[in-house]
Amino acid sequence: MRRKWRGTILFAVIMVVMGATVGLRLYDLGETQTTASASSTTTTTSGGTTSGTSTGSTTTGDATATSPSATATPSATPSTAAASATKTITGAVEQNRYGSFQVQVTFSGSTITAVQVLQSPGDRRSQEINQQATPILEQEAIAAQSANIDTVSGATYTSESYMQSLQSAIDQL
Amino acid sequence: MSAITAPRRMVIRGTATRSRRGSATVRVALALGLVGVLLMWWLAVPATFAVTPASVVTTMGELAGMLGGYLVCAQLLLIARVPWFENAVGLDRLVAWHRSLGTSVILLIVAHVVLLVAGGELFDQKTPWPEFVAILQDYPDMLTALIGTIAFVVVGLTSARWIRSLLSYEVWYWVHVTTYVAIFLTFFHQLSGGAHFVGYPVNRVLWIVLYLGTAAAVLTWRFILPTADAWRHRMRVVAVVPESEGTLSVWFSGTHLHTRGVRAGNFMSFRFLAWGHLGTAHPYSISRVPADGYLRITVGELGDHSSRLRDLKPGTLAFAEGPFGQFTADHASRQQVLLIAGGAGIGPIRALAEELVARGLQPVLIYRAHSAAHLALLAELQAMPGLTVVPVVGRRAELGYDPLGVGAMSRFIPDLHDWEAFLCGPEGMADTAESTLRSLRMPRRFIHREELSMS
Repeated sequence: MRRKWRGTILFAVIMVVMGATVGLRLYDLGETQTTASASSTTTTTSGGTTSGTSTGSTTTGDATATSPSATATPSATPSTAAASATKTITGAVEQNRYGSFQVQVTFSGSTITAVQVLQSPGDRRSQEINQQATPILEQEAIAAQSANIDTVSGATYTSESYMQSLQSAIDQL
Repeated sequence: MSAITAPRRMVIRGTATRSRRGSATVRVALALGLVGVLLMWWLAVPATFAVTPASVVTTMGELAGMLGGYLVCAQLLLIARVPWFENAVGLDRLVAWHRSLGTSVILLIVAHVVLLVAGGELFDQKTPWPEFVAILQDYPDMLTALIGTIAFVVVGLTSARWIRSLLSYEVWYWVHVTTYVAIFLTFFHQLSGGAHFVGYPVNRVLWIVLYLGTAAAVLTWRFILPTADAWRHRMRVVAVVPESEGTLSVWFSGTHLHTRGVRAGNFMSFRFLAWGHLGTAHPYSISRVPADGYLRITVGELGDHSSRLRDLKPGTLAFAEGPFGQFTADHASRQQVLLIAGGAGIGPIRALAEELVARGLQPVLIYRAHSAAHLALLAELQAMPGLTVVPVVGRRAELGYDPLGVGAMSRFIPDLHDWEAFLCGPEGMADTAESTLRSLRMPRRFIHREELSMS
């Protein structure tokens, strides 16, 4: 009698273990996400104090920061308001195995300020992935100020297409 | 057969405990594998996972699919005749595990489909049927996966007890063989569509290793080595001998049969090169271990196939897989041995009796049969010196009592708790006998039992 239901009992146990695992994982995720945001706020404040104490590094930071703006000014001479002018450039349409992908990049001068997705594969799976991956990719692009960014794990195709379309937009600048 | 003397039996104690430890090891390994799959899922959940009802239900569905995919491999490995599992657990228990795991695999596959469809519904507010179609269209390799899943469900249904009992062994067997195709077909959607495999090279590699390893084991131990054995021994039917009402024996000759490693109490899986026999392999117990180049099986005429054995022509080629089974005299560690046989169960019991007698023991055999005409091999059993044969003939209703019940057995052998027992026969009889022995305080480790069914 016990043997007769063994498979079903095993299934029930597996489902319970699965539920527990998923629950634990999501709880763990919630924990890390809150601690990550907490730690990011502390680093910004500590960053402020370090820049205040070590003047040497801030000056070099200024020097590197001024050099691109110096190069940007001559290129922007036709339009008088120069560096702060906002432009949106549409990247090329990239094909991956799930469909086509295209981004539109907003530049303030030569600085990437925003990346919008114009086209992405329409299937449900891709939409799900993109919903999670594209905000991360946008943050990475703004931080790196280039298309040379890390692939988001679990969204390899999206990431590659994103970088290619982004690169083509930067090339048009 | 050469007499086996006492020192050999010292080793034997160890074998019995090793078998129990071995089966525990296999169970722990299976559980660790499950934990490993959970870990693969755990590590592949992105840190940015958005917790919505849809995403939670979907990821549960994905996890159910992964666990199902793992357990299918475990199931195949268990019955792939891998010698290591054979020695550690024994094929009859492996088959029982395979059965139980089968139920959970089918339920996991159903849960996988239902949860993914439900998750999709929550995500894009579709009704079940359009959502089902959408999933089939959106994910890669879904057509093969659909066909494979249908095959899995059909295999599961035909193995469910009440449907299985309506089908012939042949139909069940051939439906069951399609599982190989089903596993192959469903494999691709796991790698190309699985959220925890696309973009996770480590998981992909682990999964490919799991499936390739399983395929290699099946190929080696179920196809290549059996074929090599068949060629080496080239077994042929020598004679078919009716033993009693409903029982017959088949004698085989072959080259190097004694090197096959067949032990008393083992069974082998036979496939005959004749019409009506080629399609399926059937497990039959050995009633006489190879000696002088001959081997014998004794079979109850239960199914269509067993009945058709009667018409086998001498000279027919036979492919035999095996030997299998843990029902051997190696597990006997007590001096007083009780053998209980019912129906065709007499085959392996007769072989065991011969080996036990050769070891200098004096076993007692209780032989249950519906009528005197059903008693098979009786003459040769009674001719065995040292063996006491007690035929108990008649149905329980006719006898008015159960000869294997507690009352009858305790009168027959009062100190039964000091004995060791080997049982082989129909499931109902074996169940009764086992519970009687247990209630007469015979420790479980001294009760050895062999199931006569493979499916």
